[in-house]
Amino acid sequence: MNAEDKILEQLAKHRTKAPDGFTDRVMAALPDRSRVKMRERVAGIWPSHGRWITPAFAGAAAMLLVVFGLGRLDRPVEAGRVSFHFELHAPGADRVELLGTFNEWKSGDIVLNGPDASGHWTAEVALPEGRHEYIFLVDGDRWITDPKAATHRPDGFGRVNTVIKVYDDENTA
Amino acid sequence: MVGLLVCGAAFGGPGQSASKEWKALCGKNIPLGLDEDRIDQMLGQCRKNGLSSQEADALLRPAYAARDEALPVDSIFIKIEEGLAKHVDAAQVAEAAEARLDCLRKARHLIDGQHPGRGGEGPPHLLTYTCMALESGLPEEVLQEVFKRQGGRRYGRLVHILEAGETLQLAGLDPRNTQQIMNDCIDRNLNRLEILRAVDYVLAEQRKGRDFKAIHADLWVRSD
Repeated sequence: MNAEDKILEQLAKHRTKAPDGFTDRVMAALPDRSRVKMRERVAGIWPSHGRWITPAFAGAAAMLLVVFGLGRLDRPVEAGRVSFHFELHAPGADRVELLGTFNEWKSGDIVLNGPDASGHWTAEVALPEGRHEYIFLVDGDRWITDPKAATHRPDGFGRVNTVIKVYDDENTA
Repeated sequence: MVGLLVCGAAFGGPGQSASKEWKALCGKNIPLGLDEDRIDQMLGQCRKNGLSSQEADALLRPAYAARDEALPVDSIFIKIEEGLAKHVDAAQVAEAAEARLDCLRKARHLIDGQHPGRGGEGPPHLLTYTCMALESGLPEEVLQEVFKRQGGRRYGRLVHILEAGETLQLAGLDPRNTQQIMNDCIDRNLNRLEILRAVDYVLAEQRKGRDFKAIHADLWVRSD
């Protein structure tokens, strides 16, 4: 008999059978899980000793990405509408509005963003395809014809509107 | 019924001096077939501009006439809205609305002259675009010639030819020359982008001070 066999023989002799009812006594001594409060259960899965900081920040960063990322996506233009860029150079203005046939000449409906560093006010508006007329209202009392546009038309009231024809480039009818 | 309730809500709310006349006027405008909010907005603007309900009613007469004659009410309404938004004197607004009604009538007459029955119910924009071209000063004779012109044109394309005519007219081109470009577009059955390119070319060359005959000759040499 070699040394290894001797060790195995010794180990076999040390295996003793558990006393009768041992398993039942151990199970009875364990706490009843069905009566553990929800707070204790949550506490059990929540990282302790400051280890919660990393997953918490990761989650917050993911939420911010979703919220701001979706917000930055270009809004889809409604079918039959074409996005049109309006721009007016009015460096001294406090407010520039856009009124036209597309918003039934409603004041306060479309307010341009600006001014930027070079004094430009801008707005992107989704317009229905077709012919439109518009004019800018600066600071609530000055009516300004778009100086950059090609087609102007007297409005019959002593002012001049700008005429635009807006179509989707795909539509060549 | 719903319309009257809306009118009641708009003119009879707390803090507002409810007026039977304004409510009645709102109810009178419901059959025009426009959005009820838009009618409210328009009457609100009339009040803001200091008009009485009777004066507002008088201002809206061309819209009622358009409805009675099956002409597009929206075209009249938008002109009144424009005048009110620009705080123009009511008499001037009424005059502009009457002028538009007159142009709509002429436009229908022109379209009906060639295609009886189509003025009021043809392609939705044909009447309006013809009206706009007339209002911009394009002579009736030019438009008559366009409608008379034979060709395999489609109404969609005719609308773009009318737009081109209006643009050229507003740019100060002689109406006879405008007529020639419009006729060319019909004869060649150009699509929207081709018409647009032709108009842009004519206007660019006109700004350079070139003679129309030379521009015209160049235009089609370039495309043929």
